[in-house]
Amino acid sequence: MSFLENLLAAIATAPLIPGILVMVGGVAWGIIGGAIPGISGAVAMALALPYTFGLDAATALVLLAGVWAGANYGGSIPAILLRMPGTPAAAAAVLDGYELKRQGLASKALGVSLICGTIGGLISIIVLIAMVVPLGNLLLAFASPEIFALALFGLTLIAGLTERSFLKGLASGFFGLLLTTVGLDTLTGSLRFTFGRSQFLSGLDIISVMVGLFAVSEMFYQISHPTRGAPELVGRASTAFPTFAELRGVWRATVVGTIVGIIVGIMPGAGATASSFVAYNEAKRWSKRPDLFGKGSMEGVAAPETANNAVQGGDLVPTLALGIPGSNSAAIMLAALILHGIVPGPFLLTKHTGLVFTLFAGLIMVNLLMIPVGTVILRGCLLVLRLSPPVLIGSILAIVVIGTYAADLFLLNPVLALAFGIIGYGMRSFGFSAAATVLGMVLGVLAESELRRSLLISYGSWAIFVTRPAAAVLLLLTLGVLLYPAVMYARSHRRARPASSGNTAGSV
Amino acid sequence: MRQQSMVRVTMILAASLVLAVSVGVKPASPQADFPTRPITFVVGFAPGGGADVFARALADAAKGILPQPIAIENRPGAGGTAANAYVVGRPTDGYTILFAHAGSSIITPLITNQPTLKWDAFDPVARIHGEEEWLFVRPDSQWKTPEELVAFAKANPRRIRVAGSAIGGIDSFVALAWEKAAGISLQYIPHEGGGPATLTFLGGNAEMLVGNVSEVFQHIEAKRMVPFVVASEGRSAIFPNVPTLKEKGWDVVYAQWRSVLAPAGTPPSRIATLTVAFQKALASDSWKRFNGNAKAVDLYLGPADFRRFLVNEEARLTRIIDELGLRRR
Amino acid sequence: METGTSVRTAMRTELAIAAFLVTFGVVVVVLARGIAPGVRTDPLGPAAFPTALGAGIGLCGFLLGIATLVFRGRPGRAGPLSDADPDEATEGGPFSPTRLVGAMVTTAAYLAAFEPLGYLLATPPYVAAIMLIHGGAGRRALLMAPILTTVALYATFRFGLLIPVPGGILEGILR
Repeated sequence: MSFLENLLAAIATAPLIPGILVMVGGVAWGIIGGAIPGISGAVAMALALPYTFGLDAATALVLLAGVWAGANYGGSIPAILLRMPGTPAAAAAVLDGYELKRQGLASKALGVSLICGTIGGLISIIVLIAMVVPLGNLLLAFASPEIFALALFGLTLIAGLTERSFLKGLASGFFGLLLTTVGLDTLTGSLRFTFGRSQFLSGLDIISVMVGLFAVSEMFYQISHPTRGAPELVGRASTAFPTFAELRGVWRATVVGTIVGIIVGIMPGAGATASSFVAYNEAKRWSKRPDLFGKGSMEGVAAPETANNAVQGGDLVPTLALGIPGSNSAAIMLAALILHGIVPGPFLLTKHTGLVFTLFAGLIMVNLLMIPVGTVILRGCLLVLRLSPPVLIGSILAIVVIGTYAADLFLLNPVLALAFGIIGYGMRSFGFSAAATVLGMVLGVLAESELRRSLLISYGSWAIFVTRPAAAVLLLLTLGVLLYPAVMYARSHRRARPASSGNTAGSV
Repeated sequence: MRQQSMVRVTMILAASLVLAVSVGVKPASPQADFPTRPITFVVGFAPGGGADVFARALADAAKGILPQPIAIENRPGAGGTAANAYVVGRPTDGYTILFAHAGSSIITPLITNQPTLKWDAFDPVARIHGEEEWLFVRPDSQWKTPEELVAFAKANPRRIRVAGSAIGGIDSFVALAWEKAAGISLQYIPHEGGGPATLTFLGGNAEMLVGNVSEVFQHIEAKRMVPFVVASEGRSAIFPNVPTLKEKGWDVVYAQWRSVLAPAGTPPSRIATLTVAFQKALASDSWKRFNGNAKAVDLYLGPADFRRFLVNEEARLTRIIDELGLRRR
Repeated sequence: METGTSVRTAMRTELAIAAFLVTFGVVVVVLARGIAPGVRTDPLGPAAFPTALGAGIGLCGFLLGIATLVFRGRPGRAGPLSDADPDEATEGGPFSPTRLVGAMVTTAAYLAAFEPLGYLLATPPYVAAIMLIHGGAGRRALLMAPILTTVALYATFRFGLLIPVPGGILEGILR
């Protein structure tokens, strides 16, 4: 097949030593940048962009791809170690990753994130290479109704995130959805909840809110509940990598993560963050131990981290096949192309075949390089655990401020982080779920705008959600998922009535 | 003894005086000395977007013409006005310049009632280039001429779906202004950007697409869409066979122009240095290649002409904004 | 086991939470009424989502209040609908409100001083203050950690990422 010949030729003729240095540098920077809260994958790539000018187009693309892949892993490092997602896509990793760290298993969790993430990334690249053109045509079938249905489906995870009070969890989720309405409404040009302040025009910065709800609130908690003596984990923390058996134990979650990541990546509008939560939800549904989720399940780390890496391949489908970027990160890849004088679009594959295949080869290589580079950085980051609590907490808060400030250079962002740190602390104290709020924020943007756009496409008719097969199927699934636990609960409650013991924990 | 100490004191005083003078006095002629350090080009949009790519391409083209490099600083937010707010407070020494287009310098400040961030709070440096606004249809579209489409639209209000970017952007103005001029009612479907709008159109969920040629040129070549009508003064050099809205009797002229501003009070000599440099940059190979790929037209205007243009543009846009009821008071 | 008073306190807390949710929901719905319809409104319009969400939050609060009253501190029966279990063990040590408020106020002060004083001047005192509030830091750590952290972050952001960190008072000297 000439396809394979092309690929092998690209690998064979690429200059090896400078190429490897560029790729290692890109991946390393991506991991570090991703690990800094406030620097997302796209921001890390943008910061690397000036360095690509002196390089030829293929090398520039491969460098940026390395940063992209690295950032998707890097965000999980502070998420697991410090309950602070380095990128929005790593928010789901906090749910189980931090619990694992409290059990002394941070190294294993990070290892799972790295290895499963790499597997997901590689598989998605292979799918991309094999099927970019047919997938490019297929994706046009995904329009607003399907994206809305997917977002709604993802929101059902709210039920799974609330352990004690379903109502409070629901309210938390609603709150998250409400937060996304702040700002200028693209569909009508009207201003919502801006209270006359222009800083709110583009909405609330999701990174700052997330960091506030997860990390700053945790810091406030630790400061106000100081323990005597050393924290439980220093010294007892294992620095071991996950064993083969442990990796095999999460194969289900990895498969789920890969599939979800690729599909959500291909879908326009939905990106790494949405995919990580949907994957978490699905992995929990198909897992043999769903009760462990939220309490330190390795699968709970494997699924979202695999998904957000697998998004890379999916994202590149519309980017390469149609010239339309699937996400901000892909947009920067396109920008690099444009700045090197190459026009993206459906003819990219035929007019610049050599370049595209070099990119494919490079994508495979950077994903493979993730393992050695990631391992080295991981070991370095584990040293953080040895710091004494006051030093650690003080440093984390300082990082939060400068990190949230860095992306937009608004003082508003650190203020948001503080405000939501306070709100998050309050939520935690009174039984609400910050995770549900974050989920609501992540999927809320998609849900509302795609719903309203669907109604414009259908001239106001709600029937569009029934007449379009993909959307209808997703909506039925959503309904099923919502009703199933209610039915189960009613049945178990009826059965338990005669025994009538005071079991304290809620079941949903 | 006293004489020696007096001499010593005098010498110390003299030395201090010389020191103070050499440190405190700046060399003359600010012109010859500008720029002696990198210039910051503030862009109010995220990296990778149209504005950002333009800024980087311009900075790249100016390399070698200006003795110092131009560094891009992204300050996205508030439709570009966050960057405006930042630059307003910058020193007027010519080392900070601001990206501006119709949205960030006129429309958004008007819509959100922030007159202090409008273009007239700054000193115009130069208008650089622009892209025309086009309307596209599918090759098998049932309307072959704009008149046919208007006739259909009159008989079927809000039936023709037009995909474009957000309300308040130039794309939306083209569609909405055409509605007003032709007395028709279209179904405008706003999106977050040109890319998502193109996807909706290509997926068959809209009959028309409004936007720039650069984003969809290859789709046109692949015969997935056809340029239908253009919102410019005269026919375009890219597709000369496509009529303009104006020649058909609807005065709808909008362009996506991009430009550079500086904080108000920047010395005119420094502005002149910059504007001359940009003018030369437009003749460079790298800029020509970028412009060619972007299917954009060089629209260079120096500070005085640009200021006149902006006055005019603001008047035009204010009219349509008020007609649409977009103005916030 | 739960005593009568702790159950009553838990119930009162729950009812307060419920009341808060209802109030919040009402406020949101009222504010949403003030949203301008804008141009060419789609069938739902910009106010639909906020109104529905505000109503949803209010409804959750209402149901929560009812569930608390009906299930009167019998946690088993309340099940997933309410959370009035007063025996929840807290991780970490005993609660110290002064430390909490101290941390919040100190952070707010840091943010207020961030741009005027500049990063280099504002950060070391902040980190030191947080360390003091948390407690348990040795004298050497108190001296060294704030400065090391500040310098490390400054180097990363200013020189590694070329991000213009606020210079504040030192603006003229640094640039």
